[in-house]
Amino acid sequence: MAEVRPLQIDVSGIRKKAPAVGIDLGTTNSLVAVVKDDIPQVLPDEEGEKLVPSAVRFAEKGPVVGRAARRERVADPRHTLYSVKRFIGKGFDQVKDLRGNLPFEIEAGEPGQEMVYFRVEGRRYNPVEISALILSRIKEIGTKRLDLPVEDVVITVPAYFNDSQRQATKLAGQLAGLNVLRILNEPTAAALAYGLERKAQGNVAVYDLGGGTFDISILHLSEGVFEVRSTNGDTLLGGDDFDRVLAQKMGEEIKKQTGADPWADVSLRARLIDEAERVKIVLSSADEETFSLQDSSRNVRFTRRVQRAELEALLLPFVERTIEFCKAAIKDSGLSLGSIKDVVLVGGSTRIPLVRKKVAEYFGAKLRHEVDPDAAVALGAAIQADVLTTGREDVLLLDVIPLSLGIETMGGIVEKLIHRNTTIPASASQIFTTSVDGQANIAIHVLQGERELVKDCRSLARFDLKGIDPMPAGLPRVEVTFLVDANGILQVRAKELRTGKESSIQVKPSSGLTDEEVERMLEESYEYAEADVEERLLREVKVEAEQVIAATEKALKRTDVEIPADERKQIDAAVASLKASLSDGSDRHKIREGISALDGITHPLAERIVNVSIQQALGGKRLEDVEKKPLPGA
Amino acid sequence: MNADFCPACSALQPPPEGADLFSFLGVPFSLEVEDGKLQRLYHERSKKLHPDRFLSAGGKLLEYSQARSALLNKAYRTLRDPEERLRYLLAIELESLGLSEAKAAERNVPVELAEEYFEMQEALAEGDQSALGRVHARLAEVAAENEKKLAELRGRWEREGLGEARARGDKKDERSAFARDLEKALQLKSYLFRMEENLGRAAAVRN
Repeated sequence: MAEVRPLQIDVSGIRKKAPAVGIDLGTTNSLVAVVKDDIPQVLPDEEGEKLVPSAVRFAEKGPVVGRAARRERVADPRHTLYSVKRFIGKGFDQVKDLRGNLPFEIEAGEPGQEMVYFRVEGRRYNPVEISALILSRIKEIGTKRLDLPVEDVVITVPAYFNDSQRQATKLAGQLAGLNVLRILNEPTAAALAYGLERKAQGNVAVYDLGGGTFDISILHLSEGVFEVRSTNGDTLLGGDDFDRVLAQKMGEEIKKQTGADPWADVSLRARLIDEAERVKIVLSSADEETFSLQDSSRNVRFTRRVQRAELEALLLPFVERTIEFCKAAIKDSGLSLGSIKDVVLVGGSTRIPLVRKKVAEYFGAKLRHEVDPDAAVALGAAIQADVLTTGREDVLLLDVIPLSLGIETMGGIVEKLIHRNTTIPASASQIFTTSVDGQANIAIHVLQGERELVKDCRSLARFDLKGIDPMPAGLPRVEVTFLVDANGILQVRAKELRTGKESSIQVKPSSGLTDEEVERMLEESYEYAEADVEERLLREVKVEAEQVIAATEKALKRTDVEIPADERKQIDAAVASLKASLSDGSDRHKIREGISALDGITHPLAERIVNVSIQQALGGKRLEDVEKKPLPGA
Repeated sequence: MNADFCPACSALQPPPEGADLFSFLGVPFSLEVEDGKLQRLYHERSKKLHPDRFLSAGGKLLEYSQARSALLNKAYRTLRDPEERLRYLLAIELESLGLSEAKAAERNVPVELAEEYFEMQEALAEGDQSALGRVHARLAEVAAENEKKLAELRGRWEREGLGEARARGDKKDERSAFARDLEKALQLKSYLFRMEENLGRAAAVRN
């Protein structure tokens, strides 16, 4: 595939950038947080609001993200997308049941492509693009608050996200011009925020019920080590479902009154869902609330008292399902239910009294909601971002892979190589051979899921081990190593054991996007960048050129390194040429060429300087005194 | 063998080739799981090796840290579980003693269970509830006996100092005899598990 890199040229150590931040990219709301003076804190937007609604509206002037978009969800449902996280990294077949329950349209990708699209005004958008727009807005908020460009980020995902969903989220970050340091599991992040604040020890459960997803994680905390023992969940279960069932029930009653089905009308559906959400929230603290939907043009005049008990009856099946996931997680953790001391509640939906009651009943443990359930995940992500960039060593997260990884074998059966809830990084090796004389390729199909059959698991990657030397069948021995990295993302490597040759393998990313699409998205992401990208790239290359010239001139002044006359002449000429294109100042490609030329010519000199420096260092001087080299990230 | 960092230059080293998990974790070839000690070892080492610590270094060092962490995770998970530890020890003993795994035996009905096996087949075919109940009870007896045998074997490994012998590479005959006995007991255990599974499935189908 096309190599996807952030748009910035890496000049770390030269250009100033903001400290790494943590981003909770939520189904309903997103947040950004940073560690400042050792304390994690949420960065609010221009109006002082912490929560940024994860909604995008395609207005005439271009996309609008956040509260302005969320406000229009009801007035302009056809141009407003929300809860997009429910679709990221998924195939159409997995989400088609949601169609007709949403006030916007979804459609399938090309045949065989694991992707969902949204149609807005004749244009197709995929969930990665929409998430990138939300992340761009988050980046803008962080940049404004920190007064430095936000680049390095940790983005959280539900623990139960599979490889494809993780890849797609990472890609969205890259499209937004971010350097994604880590994809972090939401409950783990919340545990970090909770555990550090309270200096907690022992076994803890994190129950995370958000707008669209549910996660349960069981952790063991011990002296700064946060060891996840097991995780389970459902990436299609959350507050959105609660809104939907209430809205549908009210819709049926309206239909009985008027004879027309409000659910079939996109605008009324959007208003029903919106009102259902409002009523649901009120009923978390009140016993009764009025559900109201008035629309004179459609002859709808509906007012109805809703009791909390009535809502609870609708929610009960969902809440009971979450408890089943909790049971499975406890079983996999190898810990006893009684050993769980605290249950940390995360996600807006844990404000619902029925949820709290059922969770308390099952665990029989103390419910913890001291850390704001909306902010806990972002705060934890900020702590991890800090750990990853500042070298602090008091904290370590040991997370797990949520779903088993395996390969297809004879008869469409999946052979599991790495089991769910294995601590990551995790690796497994498998030896493959050929079945036909002279066979040069071996096809491998990697899958993720708990089911036995290929058709029931998520296909992650298909790749060929290529360039196997012609040998009789069964003789080649190709060792394939599957490594799940700390992001929960798969990396594959292959080696022919007889020759030691690394096989060329191409693993297609499993975000569901084709190469062409990724390229197009990268190009188009320029459109959405806040600043003119050309302008920014030019500025960056100019800074780099100035740095290189300064370093060269400093080196030329050294008396302890020999510089032959003709080498000196060449260097001077290259410096002069680079200075000329700098002062001309508009062609970044020309400046880039000048930097490369100067780099090449000064290479022998640089080597001699390093040698001299080492000699001096060995001679008792400190290396730092001899040559000051900027540290990466400093 | 578990020198993660170069003693001279303190740079992270590539993962060791062919190291067994006991040696990698730095614990003796014992069958006793010292839970607290193991966890402490694991946490201390993870704090140094985890890819979080090598993210900014990148390149080869990040690769090494991923590989070493993956190995460490595997070692901890395997050695903290008494049964997995036992099975793993058997695997490395068979390998280093040059004994091949008795694969064929795994598929055949163990002698101890031949009678129960045929009774089970018959009972399943006829749907004879009380016969199935008898088989179930008999299997439980065999399982209990086998667990006793396994406990004896654990004791024998420690008592005869076979772990130390393995580290030195001697007492090959005793270790071979031990490995064969252990293999037999573990295979019987697996077989019992599968038979119970079949009985369970049969019960589920009937209900």
